[in-house]
Amino acid sequence: MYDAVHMKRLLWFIVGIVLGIGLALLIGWQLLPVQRANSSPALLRRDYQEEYLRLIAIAYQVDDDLTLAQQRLAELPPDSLVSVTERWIAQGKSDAILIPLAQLARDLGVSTPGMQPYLQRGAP
Amino acid sequence: MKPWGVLIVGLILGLAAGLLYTWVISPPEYYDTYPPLLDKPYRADWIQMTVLAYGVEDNWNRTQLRLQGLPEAEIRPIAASVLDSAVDTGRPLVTLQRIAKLAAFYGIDTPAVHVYTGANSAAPTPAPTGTAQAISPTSAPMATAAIPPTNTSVPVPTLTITTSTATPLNEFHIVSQTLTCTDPPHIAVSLALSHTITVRRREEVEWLPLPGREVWLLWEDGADRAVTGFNPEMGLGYADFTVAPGRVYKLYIDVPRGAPVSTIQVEPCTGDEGEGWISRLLVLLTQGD
Repeated sequence: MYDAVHMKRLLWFIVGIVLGIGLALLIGWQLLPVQRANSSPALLRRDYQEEYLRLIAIAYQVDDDLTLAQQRLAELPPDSLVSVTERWIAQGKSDAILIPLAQLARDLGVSTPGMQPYLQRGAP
Repeated sequence: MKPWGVLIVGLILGLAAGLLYTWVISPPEYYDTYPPLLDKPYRADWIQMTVLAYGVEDNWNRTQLRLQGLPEAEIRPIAASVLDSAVDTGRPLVTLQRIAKLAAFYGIDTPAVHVYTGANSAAPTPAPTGTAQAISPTSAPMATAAIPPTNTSVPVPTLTITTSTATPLNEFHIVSQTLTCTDPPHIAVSLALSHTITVRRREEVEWLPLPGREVWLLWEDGADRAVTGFNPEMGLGYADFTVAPGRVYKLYIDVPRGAPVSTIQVEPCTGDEGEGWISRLLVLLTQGD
């Protein structure tokens, strides 16, 4: 008799634990997930990553600090600079966008044929 | 304990353990995030580059989109710092004005913002005063050459000054020159606008300091530029340069073209003045009305 009551309580306890954990997973991962502002530029949405790239190129044009530009680029997926620049060249983006990117790529030792017209137009 | 009591205890323990796991041990990893969720140093970098880019691109809407969702408390100090840094590194005036406009939008209230947004400066309609005239140097102490304070006890006409309004050359003339002996030597200027106000039917001349004006020193193979107003304790019209001994400098206001306001040679001190080089504080006046 005592064991049956004990077992029943244990069963209720386990049911409670399981329900509690299930509820916590629902709350913690779905309903109220913790939003920590701790992501890196590589985790930005693609359009924001491209914007980050543009900002790096403009900042480089202003401050002429190649080391800083390299540090910033290192936070983005590899080859972002060249791939985005080439894609935007193909899409016919404006000189104002492409010249800083092409100049940054050139100064980092990467220069594709598609970038040449922008480098010439951006030459002082 | 009743069975439901045991159930609730289990539920609470399970909930606590589950939340510990989902919020602390294994929080969800986010992909496709946006700038406000960047780690703080990256956010600061994003803001800094955005402010700098606005100074270059002048694209207000894009800048607002880039800064969307970011706390203003974070934007403010960074924008102020970018403006100060841009001033220090001698960025073009138009860039400084754009950055100052953005900084002012976020409620930054620094001397640099005032100077480059033209918030407390006036664009006088100058009356040409002919060629610059040098006056004989005096040996009065520097403090005596300070521009007289604006009389605030009388109604003062409101002036609107914009720093982008370039005024003609040679509108300034030297009204006093103070020499001191220092090492290293420097050349300082204090620009003021002279205008007449009527107080109780009597006309009085008032001097207003002129912040945000470019002062140029040109020498044989170089040039230097300063903007008035960045040393407020010396006056809003004040700017100075450290200069090289023996060199001859031409002083210009606003644009380094045409006849200089003054030509200055940095000479050694002589006699009782002590050792070092002669530094000058020139008080330059332009006519307002």
